[in-house]
Amino acid sequence: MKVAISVWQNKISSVFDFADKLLLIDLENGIEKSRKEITLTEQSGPERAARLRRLGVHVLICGAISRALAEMLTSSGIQVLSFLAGSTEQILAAYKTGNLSLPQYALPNVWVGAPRGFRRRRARRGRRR
Amino acid sequence: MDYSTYEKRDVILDSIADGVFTVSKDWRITSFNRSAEQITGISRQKAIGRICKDVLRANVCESDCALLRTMNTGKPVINKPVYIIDAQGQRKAITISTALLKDQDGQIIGGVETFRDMTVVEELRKQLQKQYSCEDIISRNHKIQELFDILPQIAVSDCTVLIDGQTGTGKELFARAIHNLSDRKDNPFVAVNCSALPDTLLESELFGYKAGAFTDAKKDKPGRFKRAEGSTIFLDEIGDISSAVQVKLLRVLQEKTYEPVGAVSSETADVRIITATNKDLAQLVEKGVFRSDLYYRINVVKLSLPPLRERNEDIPLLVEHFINRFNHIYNKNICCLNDEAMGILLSYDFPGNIRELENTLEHCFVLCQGDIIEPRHLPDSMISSDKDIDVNKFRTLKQMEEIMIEQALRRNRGNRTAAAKELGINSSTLFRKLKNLNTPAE
Repeated sequence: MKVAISVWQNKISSVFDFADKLLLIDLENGIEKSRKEITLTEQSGPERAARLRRLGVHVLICGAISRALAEMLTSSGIQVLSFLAGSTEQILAAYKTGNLSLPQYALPNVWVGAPRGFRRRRARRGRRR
Repeated sequence: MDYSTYEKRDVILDSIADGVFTVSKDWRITSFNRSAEQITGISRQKAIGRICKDVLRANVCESDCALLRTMNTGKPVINKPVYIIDAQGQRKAITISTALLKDQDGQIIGGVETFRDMTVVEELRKQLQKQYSCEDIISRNHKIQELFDILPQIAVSDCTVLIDGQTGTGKELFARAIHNLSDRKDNPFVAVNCSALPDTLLESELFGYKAGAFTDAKKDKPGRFKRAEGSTIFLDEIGDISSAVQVKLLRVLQEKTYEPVGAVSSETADVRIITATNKDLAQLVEKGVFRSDLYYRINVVKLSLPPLRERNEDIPLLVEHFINRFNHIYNKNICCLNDEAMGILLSYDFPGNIRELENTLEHCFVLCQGDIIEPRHLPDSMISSDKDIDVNKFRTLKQMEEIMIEQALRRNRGNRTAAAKELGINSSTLFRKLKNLNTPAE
């Protein structure tokens, strides 16, 4: 599974729409197989979404993201875990352990329904069943 | 500063129409005024203590931070245009200005940044200059996304592109997106609506004329091809041009040369041609109305834009986009459509496509005095067309069932339980019927 993290100076980049670096990590059963840094030259949202599709990204972990771009990515089948802040390694570790929804990783105020850490959503789905 | 000094400072800052925040030397926000809350959508409580780039979320924060530059050079930055992503996930145009904060001894203790919402100005500028880009194409539809996958390759290839799609589907927007992604982007994009000009005028408009070519032609006039030299020309409604203009256009495509009206020598043209039509050109070729050699020349790469009724999932996104735009233009604070009004939009066919949706919402903005658009604000034609289901057009009971299920699903935004309730059947019955009808999951 390919996980992309938008990064800036070993931290999560504030806004994916404007970020120019991606850390592309290949995970297999939670174990890191490889990682490489990618430079994003695409400026517009649709181009960025197309680039991520070409890279075969399954999950994007990022800071803030425009709603239009988040919709484009999710409708392409890319899971978006956004509005996160912290160091890259901390965030990656939290992702592996399912702790991304902890408040210390959250950016302030996001729109209702913004795709954030997945643990809370899973739990809610479970309750509904 | 004592408490009252803090209070006075906050009152002063809150009375300013521009957003203002101050940061300490470690980039943490120390104050955040009311306008800053309104522009960013982030409350003061949440903003204070956070790193400023996590709150402002501007395109320059990580690449060319204005405050960092001011801290390093001591010089203020004034009215720098930037984009931010606000708390609602909207891209907003603002201008920022920065200055140093010093204590009584003249020591730098941080910085101050003021910013102004420029959304209205940006919208008006875009409308006036028609400078729309890829960013303005809003879609989660898979067909549109597939087009975006190939758009960069098409843009760099410099080949002729034919865009076909119904009126109002965004053909010009795609043409501009191709131009903006190409090496020709620094030169002005020239758009011509071929059906808007009579045949004789179109020829002189496209290729220009020489002095004395006809009465009142007192001096040379360069045509649109000349103006598009080194750039891209967009010929909309190409299916409407006469056979005489077709021949001239064919020559431009084959030999890269053309002759202005009344000229004795040819001029070269380094112009990329993008054409668009809402007609079936292949059919026009068969009828002999459109030259087949020209058709094959312009049809090197063809982009087909789906009508809005085939990209229903984009309606809520587009509605939000237009509400946002009209709120700024009309200075209103409309938040959304209620479920019933949205249901009507989702079940409407939109023969005029996105342009019709835009005009519909503008109609609602004129009539709506509250903050939620209701069905009574929609045009009458739209409401009656939603209610009228022509029973005669169905040949079988199954066809009728299919249409009714599809419309109920649209009205309920794909919510199957709500659709089943509306249809008066059990949700498991609806699931079974959907499985038999092969309706894709929403």
